[in-house]
Amino acid sequence: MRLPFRLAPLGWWKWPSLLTVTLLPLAFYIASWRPALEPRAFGTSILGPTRLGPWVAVLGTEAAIPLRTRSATVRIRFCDGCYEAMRSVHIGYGDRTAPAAGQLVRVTGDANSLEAPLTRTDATRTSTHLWLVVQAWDGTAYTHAWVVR
Amino acid sequence: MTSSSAARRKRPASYLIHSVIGLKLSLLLLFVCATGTIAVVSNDLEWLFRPEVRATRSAIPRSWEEQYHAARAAYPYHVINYGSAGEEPYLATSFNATSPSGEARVIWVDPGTGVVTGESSWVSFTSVMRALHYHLFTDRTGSWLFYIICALGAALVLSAITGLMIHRSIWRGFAKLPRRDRGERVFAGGLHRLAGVWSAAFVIVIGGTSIWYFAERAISEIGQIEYERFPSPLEAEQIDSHGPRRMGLDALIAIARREIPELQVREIWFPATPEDPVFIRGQATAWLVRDRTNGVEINPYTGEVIHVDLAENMSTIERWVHTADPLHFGDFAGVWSKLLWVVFGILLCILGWSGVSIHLHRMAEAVRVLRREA
Repeated sequence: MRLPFRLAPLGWWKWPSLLTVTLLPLAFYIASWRPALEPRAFGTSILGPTRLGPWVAVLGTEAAIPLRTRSATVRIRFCDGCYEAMRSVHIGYGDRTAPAAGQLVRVTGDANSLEAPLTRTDATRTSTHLWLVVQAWDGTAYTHAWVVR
Repeated sequence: MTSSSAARRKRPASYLIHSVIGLKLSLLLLFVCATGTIAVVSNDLEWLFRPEVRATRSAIPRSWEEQYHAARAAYPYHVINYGSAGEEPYLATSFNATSPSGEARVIWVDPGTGVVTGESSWVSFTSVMRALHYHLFTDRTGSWLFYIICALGAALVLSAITGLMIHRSIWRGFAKLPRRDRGERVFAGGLHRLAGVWSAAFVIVIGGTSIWYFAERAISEIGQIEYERFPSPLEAEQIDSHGPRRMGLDALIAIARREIPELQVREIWFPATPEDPVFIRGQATAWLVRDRTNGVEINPYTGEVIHVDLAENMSTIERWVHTADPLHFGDFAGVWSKLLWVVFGILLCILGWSGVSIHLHRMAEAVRVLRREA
């Protein structure tokens, strides 16, 4: 039995339907869906690796150093298995001696996707250092500051 | 009645609506129905060609804690976010994790032996088929195509209702086989009517749940409403006084079962930060709900129960939110209900093809009549 299989009955809907079920998913798979599942780039500007107490930390950001942009996302990687020994991790702008008061931001995500948004406020507009503060479970705090301006 | 008089016969509105929907949307409907049919059994199809997703049947499956520790031992620097029991007894437990490079990965553990069977990308035949079915890979650009796909559910429902309205004898139609001795058009017509009556109820269910998904997403996005409760962060004082050691998984599951004695653990959401609780979820006594409906949120440091979700205690709308998925996916009774959904899905595809076939034959016949009369 010869089976008729023509799209003429679709009329005006023929080409939009064809494109929707063929090129559209192919294009979005290649250009959008699959790339979104790739691991995000750690960053083009790298700070570290730096020893922080018993641990080692590396920071990465897409923004250029010196950090002059108003906002930037900073990603952090610690030595393998080290994050489990940390109670909290904060990051923020400050001067040579200490982070700016009230400007530390909690780093979020699991151990393999730690990141934090950094925003230059009026209080940190001229800050020259980026501070990383890590608190261990026993309450001990370890800090390090990188010159970013 | 001659063909020319048949051609001039006035068709009821239901016939015209049925024809317009069936013809103009035939390719889209066929694509969505076909991908949906495959997606229903995508996990089971993967069993055929991916050894790592296979499980060994065992009278006493390994505990969640044993399986979790096996996954952690095999991949110590992967961060496990979420564990999910295999959909069927022959499918392995999966632990969704983040690799050290930040990539989404899956660690597979055979619950029958407690052995890690493999580690793979999150992108799989199952994830691809599901993404292809309900948003054609466009979800990163917004919900626009999701809404269009769901709106096809309304077209399906309308098509089913109008089809039943124009059917001359629905009840006799269940046993009326298509005739093969009167040409292709008569065969296609008989097949269309037979598939239609048998799948009508299924079409209403699938179309109805699709319309619900449309409404659910629209209400959520416009009204900023969350249908599911997310775990609450733990108090800092509790973490500081009891951390960092968390209780073992089996002990936490025992606590969950004290709250819900009939709980069959199907999903575990692991804490990503010190402030996160553990969420143990699964099936209990309620029927036709998805795996994450019933659950116990527990402080992993102290074992304190923070919250209990039980289907029987949910409001009607909340209960419906958890029922729509099993109805749409057909996984409420294991592989047998999924196979039934596959049969109905194939019937839907046959409906689409046979409807277009009937139209093409009618058009060819009308052209022949016009030429004869000319």
